[in-house]
Amino acid sequence: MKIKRGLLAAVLLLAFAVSFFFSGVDAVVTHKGTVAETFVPHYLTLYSLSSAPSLLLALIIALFIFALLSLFHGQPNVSFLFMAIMTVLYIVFLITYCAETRNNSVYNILNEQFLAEGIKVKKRDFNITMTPNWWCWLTAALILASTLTIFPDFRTPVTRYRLKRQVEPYIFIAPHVLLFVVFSMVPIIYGIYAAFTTWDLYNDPVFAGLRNFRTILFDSENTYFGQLRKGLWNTIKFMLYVTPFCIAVPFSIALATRSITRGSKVLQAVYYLPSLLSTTTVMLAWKYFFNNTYGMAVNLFGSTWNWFAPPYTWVMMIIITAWWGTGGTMVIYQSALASVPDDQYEAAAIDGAGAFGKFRYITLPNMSYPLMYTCVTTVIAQLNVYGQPNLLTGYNYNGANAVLLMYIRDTAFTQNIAGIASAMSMVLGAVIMAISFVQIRLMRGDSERAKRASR
Amino acid sequence: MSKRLISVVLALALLLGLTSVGFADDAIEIEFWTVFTGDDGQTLQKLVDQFNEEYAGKIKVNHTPFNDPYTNLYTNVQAGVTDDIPDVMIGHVERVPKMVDDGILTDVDFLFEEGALDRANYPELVLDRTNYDGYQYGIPWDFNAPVLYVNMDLIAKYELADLLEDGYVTFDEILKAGETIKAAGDLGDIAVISYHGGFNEFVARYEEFGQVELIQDGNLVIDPQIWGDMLARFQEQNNLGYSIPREDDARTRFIGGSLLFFENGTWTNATLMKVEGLNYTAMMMPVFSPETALCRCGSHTWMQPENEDRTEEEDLAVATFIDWMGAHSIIWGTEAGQVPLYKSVTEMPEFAELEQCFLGEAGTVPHIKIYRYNYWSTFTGACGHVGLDPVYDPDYDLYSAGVTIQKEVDDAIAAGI
Repeated sequence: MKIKRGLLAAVLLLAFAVSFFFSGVDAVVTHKGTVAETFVPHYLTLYSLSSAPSLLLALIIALFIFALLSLFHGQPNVSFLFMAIMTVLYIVFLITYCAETRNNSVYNILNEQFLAEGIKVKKRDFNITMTPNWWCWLTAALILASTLTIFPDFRTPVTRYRLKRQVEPYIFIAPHVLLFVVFSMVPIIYGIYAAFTTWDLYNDPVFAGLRNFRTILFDSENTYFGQLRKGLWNTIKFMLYVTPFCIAVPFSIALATRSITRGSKVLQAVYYLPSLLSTTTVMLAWKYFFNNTYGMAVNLFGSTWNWFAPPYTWVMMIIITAWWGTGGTMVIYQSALASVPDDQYEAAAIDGAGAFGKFRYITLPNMSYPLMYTCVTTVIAQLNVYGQPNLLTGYNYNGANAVLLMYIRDTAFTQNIAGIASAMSMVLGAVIMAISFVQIRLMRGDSERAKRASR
Repeated sequence: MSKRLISVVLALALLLGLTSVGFADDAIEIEFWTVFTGDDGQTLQKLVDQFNEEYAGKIKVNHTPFNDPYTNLYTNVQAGVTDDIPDVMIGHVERVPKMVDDGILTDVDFLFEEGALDRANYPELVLDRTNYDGYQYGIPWDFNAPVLYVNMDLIAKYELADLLEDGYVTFDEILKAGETIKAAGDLGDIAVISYHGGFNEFVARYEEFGQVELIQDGNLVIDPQIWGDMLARFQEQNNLGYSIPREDDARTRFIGGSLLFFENGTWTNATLMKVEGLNYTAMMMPVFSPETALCRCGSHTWMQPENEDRTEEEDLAVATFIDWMGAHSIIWGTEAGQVPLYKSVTEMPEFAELEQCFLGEAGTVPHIKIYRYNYWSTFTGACGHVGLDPVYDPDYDLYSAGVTIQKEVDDAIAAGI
């Protein structure tokens, strides 16, 4: 019986998806006898980001997926929870969205009609009447029906207990899930969607298929093709140059401060301090340090390099990034080193192991996980580099140090070409994921070999 | 007893609180955004404070400066967050066309029609730049432009006063100054010129050099040959060692007295004015010839973002504010170093004494030009990507620079800005 109810609920849920596709709002506005009207389907509202209620639609879609998955995993009570929230959100959406008498997206569509007629209407004079079409009511009815189909039976203690066990964990994780969905999942989905559109961040995006990807990946004559190649290659170069130092320097300091008995805490604080500073503060301070005329590098240390011209720009950025990023990684290493049992070192000493032997066969194997973790996070962090080249070198020397995020930021927010920028972001994301994946696989193998060797 | 006393005191406090709510300031509140985040922002705030004092109880202006108000504005309009859309803002004149196209701005004709503002108080040239399809979308606040700051002590030291006599510094005169400083054995310690870079440097120079229009029928048209030949004149200065090293801080060098010609915007004047003992003047950017001289000018412009919740009463309060600010804007010249445009202000004797007042004649002087192009920020971004590479890199293919900029703008438009 339960299986049948679940199946029925799933069917109703899928019917909801179909009905949702046809649901929408009829919008009408009248100005001095001229009528402008349009139909705004929900999917248009969803991707137009036209107002706050459109976010509710995104949440409803997310909940729909969760509800369906819960049903397939034999958890109707959890699915019921998601569907109940969906029902409430959908009704709230219909009420709030239809109350928007000057919805920006709808205003743009209707205003076009007035302008085509040669009539200029100020937005303040718009009073749009929005009425849900009958599909909306069917959609609401279907989701309500689906919810009621799997309404839990609260009468028996066993059901109440099961309900408590199944639902309670979700209530505990709900705040985090909500924040994750609103601030991470929805933007990621919109970002992916934007990559397939032509969008100026203001007007409604227009679906463009794979055009943006064709442009940035295959159209060798196009500016954005060049920017992606140059930006991505500079980003990878930066990561390759900087990462070894961002691992080796804090590791060395952690090892050194471990053996210092007096003042180690002070030293730790001193090394950690730079990581508390903001990007701008760090970059401006170092910019003056390396200044070719007034800088300490020239006047105190007698440097003759032009630190702001390649290839020295890379050296400068390695120094700054290693100095700036040492603190956080160092703390991880210090705590990991502190957890290495002293008796292992004592036993090794009895066996005649020297300092290198202890390091090679005791310290390193014990540090394999922190090292792996910091390697992955450092690589990801360095591939997301933006502040250093942006504030130190900009696009100088034919963009010799211009990284991909600089181009992405410029394209999205200076030029308002969000489609191309999102496509570039997706390429960067794919590269980061691929590198991290390979890295984790390689290091996992390494750490297992190291463990076997230490046995 | 003590509990009773406490109760009475609390009740009185509550009553007092409610009373104060009852007597709350019912002045019309105006949200005012600007792009002035530096020293000039402080000067503007001073003016706003003065206005608030004078109109206490009637109008209250809340001034918020932003580095980039446009992104905030677009986001808030898009999201329909009308509470966070300013009633009035001062932005860049070049931004207006795109904002009008996007429906972000509302026209301000109503303010003129109601007599709250008078067109006669503003130069027609600037008003025209924000007039679209017969609707007025902007009200001029000031002129801003890249200018040439000249260290007068160095002029006196090297006896170069004759270079400035006609009010222009030409490219040939820069070379002459370089030769003089070189002959004195000071070249290196003293740099002849620094560059502002990007579009500020090259736009007007290109039109002047080639006697061509950069924007033709609303489209960007760069002739790579002319652009390259124009760049060659800059590269010549650098090859002779007259320009400051690329990474040097030009402002510091100018203030320190080791730079003769310092190119920067009028907005930098606010800082220079405060430097004790700095003897300088401001002139038009270097030209190829006084006869063909051209100065790219911008204007900070009042604009009203579209906001359906704003009432006509608030609009009129905005007009009162704009007009008052204009009439008191001399401080914008004397303290912020900018160029106010309000007619009665430009007729003040103090205005004539401003170093940068030569820009104030823009309404009548034909060689000052304000550009009007829908994709201006894309164009300036493309210029920024090329930067000063053509000037400083002797191996740079000068004739590719114009092609690169043109291509970037065309590709951006094709990508659907």
